[in-house]
Amino acid sequence: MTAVARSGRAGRLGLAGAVVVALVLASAPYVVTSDVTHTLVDLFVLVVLATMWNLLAGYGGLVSVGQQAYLGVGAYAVIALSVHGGVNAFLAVPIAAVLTAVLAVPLSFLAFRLHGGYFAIGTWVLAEVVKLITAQIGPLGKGSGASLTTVSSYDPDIRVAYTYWVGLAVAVASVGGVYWLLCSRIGLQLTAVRDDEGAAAATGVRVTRAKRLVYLIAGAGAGGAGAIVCLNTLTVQPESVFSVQWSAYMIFMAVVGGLGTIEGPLLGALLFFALQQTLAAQGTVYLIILGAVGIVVMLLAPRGLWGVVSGRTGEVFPVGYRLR
Amino acid sequence: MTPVLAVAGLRHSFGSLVVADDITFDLEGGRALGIVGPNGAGKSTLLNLISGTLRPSSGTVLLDGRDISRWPADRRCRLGIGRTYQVPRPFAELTVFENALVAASAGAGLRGSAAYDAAAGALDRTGLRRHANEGAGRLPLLDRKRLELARALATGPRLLLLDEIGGGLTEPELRELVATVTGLRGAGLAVIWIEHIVHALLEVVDEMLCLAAGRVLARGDPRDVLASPAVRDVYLGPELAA
Repeated sequence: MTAVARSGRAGRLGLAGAVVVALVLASAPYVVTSDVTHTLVDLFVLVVLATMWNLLAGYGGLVSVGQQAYLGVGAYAVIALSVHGGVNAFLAVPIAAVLTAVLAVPLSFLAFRLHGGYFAIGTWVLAEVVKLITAQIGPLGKGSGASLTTVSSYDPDIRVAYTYWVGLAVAVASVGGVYWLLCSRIGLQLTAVRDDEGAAAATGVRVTRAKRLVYLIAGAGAGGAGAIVCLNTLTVQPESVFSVQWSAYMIFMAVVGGLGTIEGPLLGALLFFALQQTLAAQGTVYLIILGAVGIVVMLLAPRGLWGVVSGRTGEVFPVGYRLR
Repeated sequence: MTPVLAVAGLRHSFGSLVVADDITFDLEGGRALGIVGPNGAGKSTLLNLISGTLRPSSGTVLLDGRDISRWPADRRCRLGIGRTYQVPRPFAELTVFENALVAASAGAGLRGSAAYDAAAGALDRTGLRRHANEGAGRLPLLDRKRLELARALATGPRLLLLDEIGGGLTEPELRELVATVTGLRGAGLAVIWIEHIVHALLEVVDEMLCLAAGRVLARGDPRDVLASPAVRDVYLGPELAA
């Protein structure tokens, strides 16, 4: 009988810390004003996007610049389900995520015909096609978009609080789900694919199946994030929810934070959120600073910010196996 | 008795360059085949055709009588083909044990403690146990070669493909490797071993195959193959051999 350990002291502390952070965040609507919670929802969206893009690129090796397709579909799905389908707008969020994953199945067969840079451009093209098709649908407001009118009956503070909790739940489910996935059998195989795809296949790993699974999960995550964006802004417009800028955000957060780790994208999302909150009013200067941060991190810390930190702290979310 | 591996009329070309030309042979379980030949003879290509990294332009590969010619590499591995790479390709960010565990779980289809046991067993057989929790990317070359073998073994193969796994080893290390491979053959595995170190091959293999320019130049008893004029020609050049 072979004895194997999955987690060390740092891991147990980290997990306990994560639970405490989630509980503290969950109580925020009782403590802070709705302006603050409204802003924090943006952070949750960023956390979901960074985590999911990292799963896709950092583990699946799938560098997509088209995840805004799923973000947009998730946002529009809330409008369709709630305004036209009579579903409660908050309940529509998980349904939107599932619908997005379903859409990702046929699109994956198109996108997976391409590799590397071609895959990246291909996903962008798919996202544009999804946007153009969505902007043709009359009941969804065509090019000018639509409003989430069904939540106007809620008291604004209650509505923001519900949005906040749903957003937090999606963020926790994303990070927790990705962690659970990476701890599983599939997760170990994904990590092998990340390190050497050819050798993984020669070792029996079903590489394409693993990648497709990751693609569907990342699609669902982006869909959930889009649904939250819709709830938080109460309106969707094709040019905004299908903007390629979302992909730029995802790449920035995952790469600057540390690709191929669970902790890195969380750091990246926090950093990006902080920059956004403090500098977004500055216009061009904000973009210059974002670019500069990206360049400096890539030059000085090619493994991202978490790569610098983790040497001292150990992993907060350990997924490894230690032979005793 | 059905041979573990039966290769018939195998052919592959990159454009107009033919790298495997009408290769035919069988290999039974518990037997080892050595493959020699000058650089560029198509030895590694042959392993790639058998393991599924390349699909043959024509010809068939049968494993235990099943035609796997069109199967992808991962499916062939799960059916029982384990391979090593000439230039080691570890999963660099994983530990040595995790590398073997990928093979035991994906390749051999084992779960839980059965997978742990198989992975740990493969490390024991290759002398890597004491490095189990080290990062595979930080291993020195020789241990990387051991890891190639450990990973191939952890997939639970019926057929083991070894690509120049002895290169760069010291004499004692080479003797250890020969003993390991002999043990595997004794346990019923079919082994194909590409190697330039002929004296190591001679200790293990039952049969020898010499490739040159993608064709089978000679095949048969190892010493006879090495002594044949055609083989001496391609290795030493016609003048020297004469």
